[in-house]
Amino acid sequence: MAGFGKNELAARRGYSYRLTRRQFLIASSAAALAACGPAAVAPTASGSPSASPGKTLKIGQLLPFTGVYAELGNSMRRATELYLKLNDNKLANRPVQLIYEDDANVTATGIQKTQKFIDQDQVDVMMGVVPTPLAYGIRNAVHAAKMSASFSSYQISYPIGDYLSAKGTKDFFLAYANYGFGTESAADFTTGIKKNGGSVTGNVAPPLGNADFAPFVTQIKNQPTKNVYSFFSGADAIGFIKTWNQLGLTAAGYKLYGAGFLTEQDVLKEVKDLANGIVTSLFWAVELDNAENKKFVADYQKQYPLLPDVFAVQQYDGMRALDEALKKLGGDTSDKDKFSKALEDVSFKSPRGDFAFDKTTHNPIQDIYIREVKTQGGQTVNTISDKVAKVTDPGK
Amino acid sequence: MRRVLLWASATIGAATLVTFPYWTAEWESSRFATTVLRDILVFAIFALSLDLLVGRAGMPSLGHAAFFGAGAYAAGVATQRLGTDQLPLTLGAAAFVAAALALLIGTLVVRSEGIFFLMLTLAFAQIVFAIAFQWTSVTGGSNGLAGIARPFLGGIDLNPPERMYVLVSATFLAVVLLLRAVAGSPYGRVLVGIRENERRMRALGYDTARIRLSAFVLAGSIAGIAGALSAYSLRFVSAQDVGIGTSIRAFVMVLVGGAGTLAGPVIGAAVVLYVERILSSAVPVAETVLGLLFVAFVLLARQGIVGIGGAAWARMRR
Amino acid sequence: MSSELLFQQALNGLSFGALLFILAAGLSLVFGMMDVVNLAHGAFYMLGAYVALSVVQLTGSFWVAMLAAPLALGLLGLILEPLLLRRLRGRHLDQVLLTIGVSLIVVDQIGVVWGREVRSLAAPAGLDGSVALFGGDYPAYRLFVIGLGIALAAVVTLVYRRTALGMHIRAGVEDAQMLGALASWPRRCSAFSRAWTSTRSSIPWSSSWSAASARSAGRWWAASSSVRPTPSARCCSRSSLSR
Repeated sequence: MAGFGKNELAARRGYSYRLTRRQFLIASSAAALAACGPAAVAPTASGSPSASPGKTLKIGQLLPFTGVYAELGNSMRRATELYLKLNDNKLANRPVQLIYEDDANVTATGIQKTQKFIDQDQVDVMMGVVPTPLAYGIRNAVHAAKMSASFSSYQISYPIGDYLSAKGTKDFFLAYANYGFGTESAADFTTGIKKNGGSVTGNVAPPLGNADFAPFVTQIKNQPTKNVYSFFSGADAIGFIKTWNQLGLTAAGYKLYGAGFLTEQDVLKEVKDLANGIVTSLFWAVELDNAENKKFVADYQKQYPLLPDVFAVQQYDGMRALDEALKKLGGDTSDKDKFSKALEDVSFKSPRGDFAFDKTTHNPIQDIYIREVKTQGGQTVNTISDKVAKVTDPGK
Repeated sequence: MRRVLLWASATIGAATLVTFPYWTAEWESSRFATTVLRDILVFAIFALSLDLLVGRAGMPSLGHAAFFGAGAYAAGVATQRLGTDQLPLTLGAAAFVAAALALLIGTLVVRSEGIFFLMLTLAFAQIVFAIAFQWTSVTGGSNGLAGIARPFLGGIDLNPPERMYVLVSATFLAVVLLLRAVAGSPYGRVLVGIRENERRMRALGYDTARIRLSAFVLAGSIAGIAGALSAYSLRFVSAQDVGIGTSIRAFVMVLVGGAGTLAGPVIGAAVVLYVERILSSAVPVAETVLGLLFVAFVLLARQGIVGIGGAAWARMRR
Repeated sequence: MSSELLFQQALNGLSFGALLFILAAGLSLVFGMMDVVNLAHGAFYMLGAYVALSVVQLTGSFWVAMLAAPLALGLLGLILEPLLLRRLRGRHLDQVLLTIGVSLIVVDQIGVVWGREVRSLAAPAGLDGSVALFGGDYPAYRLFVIGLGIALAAVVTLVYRRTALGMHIRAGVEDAQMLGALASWPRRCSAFSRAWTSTRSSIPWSSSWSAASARSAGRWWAASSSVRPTPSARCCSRSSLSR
């Protein structure tokens, strides 16, 4: 979609294209916050009648509850409810009403439900928006203030490339799911390693949702570069890791690296110790050692019989950011510009570390952790081995 | 006299439909109702075009979304890449691209029949889907094309939702009139003849393959127009628009509403969008509801809602 | 391409092909013998996997699940065939529409019952290792799938060509009416072959011990997949060989 930033037609209509492409590349997740107002219709409309302190704050949550990302939607819903429960169901002293809608991972449905939030429910704030195309799709409908509490492909894949090559591991073979985010991640990783004189010796790119990984893994096994950087998530990650082990790549001296989703909870609980030794990068891990995270993980487990995942953290941080911004405004959401500004300025200690938004890209500035999978006391977890501090997205 | 009355009420009905956002402007949910109705009409056009094949010509296509998607992409690309925002140009591009694709695929499939036709159209649509998904430089790949600007008609900006709605509803009425004319024409009767007994029609001297192909192309270009309207409405096109899901939805609409009628696909579109967009907010198993609709209508009411209604009407008059 | 790579990729292709064969055999049996186009085949395949998953969780045994999943799916076939499909004899288009509906229901309900996260199962003890072959080690489980495919092909061919049942089935394909006039067979026969084929469709899932994944099996894929073995394997068996 090169070049739609300079789309003159769009500019003529006054659409806002200030947001760059990268910040909306939110792979399988985003806890995007959007101050809602029917901007595309009437930019000056001052929002809903409930937009004043003390009254109920309506939050529209657009999440996938069916389809490929269903579990992710459930996880984010759990985090939302946990946050509200811990805060007496109030944000900045305003009682909260949550309205959930299922986008079913169909963009058209998501756009329509966004329209419902704005026109029918007249929500004050909208959150959620998981699939990347949907984030693209709804941006004409919501007010320009969109904050992402997630990440860009750059923030995950560039730092680990830079980090590994600086440490002396310079040559990599790439394996990634052949779709938008996978390809971007591979490119960002390549930029990272090239910075320190590293190089990519080759790649395999199975289609998204690949059926059989054996041919691809066999190809990896029959080439000499021992370090392999990968981007897979969900079912693809499980298939890839299992095949990697079946075909004995670890035994043959190959080492697997990847973007953090390769070894997130949904994958680890299925592959268990098969994932041991995989090194990945992400802005959070269950094992992260800080007070906020310890409390978050404990609270979460008290409420639900499972470990939180990275999507829960994003949503939890999203709620926190909203809470902080509202507190600053005394709960008043009527002025959308003030509200956006307040959101931009939010900063707090999150389970992932220090959290603040980048003013230009609206992506978080965050620490990226280098994690290694280990089985400790019968549980397979991501242990933190290092961190790359304060990574911002360049927002090209 | 009766005829005049009929025409008058039809005209009033049409005017009521087209001006919906204006006379409901005072309602609290007018805007939401307008967008829902707009999307229903977009899909009604799409379902009507499929019904020309399924109900009229007896060509059960399970790949009709290929043309819907082609139209949507054509409109999107014309607006974003070629820098034109005039409605006749972008809508024309959509109809043309969809028709050309239909001509290409149609040439290869019209000689097959029944289940084989169904499978072939499905297979070709999957090829189109794969192209849409992979050809990132043109289609945006898995991200789709976003932020498509709504067109101008001369100096009139169609961006405001009520004008967009008027465009969609007016196009819908034009398509209904066109298909009504086709159904009543000798050409429409030949299509039905081919559906009922192709060999006899051939024996009578009709070039049946060619006639089937022409129906396929006509239906494809109307589907392309529906796709373009969808692209303008949502300001977004993605590979999902070309996918099997979209083809199946159109088929449910035709089946549930009643194939071979003008009202059927329209009612079907309303029912399906109701289940998907409104019922799904309340019930988490919209997919199961669609599946049950499919099973129930195939087994119990093959003629669809229109068929049930017609039978009930006939019984009442007796 | 070195000869080892060639050999290994050939094995990869064979094992995946065997899985597809097992899947496609059921589909072609229903179409060929009963003249039924079943677009819910992929959904049944997926359901078989989930049944196997539950049986393993209950009993801890691969081999019990290997029996239970086909039986459960066979039972479902025995119920669905007279209930839904028998009255649509010869009406292909209606069969297609009906089975699309069935697959929508099955896939959605699997999500409700088993959840929508990705699931997987490990290969059973004895099949989870590797076997030394020319050019290096090869996973035993994949070799097992190849063996199972060949065995099934042999059994089906034998039954079809050499037994009385096979003869009746062949006769039924040729001329069901005539067969009906000669004996009371066809009804039972078709119910039998229906149950059999629906059983068959579940074998790969259970046998492959595979990941049952509603999440990965894109809902619409499950509908389309059954007609075309490759994509169905794509949605359902992504994990079947790798796990």
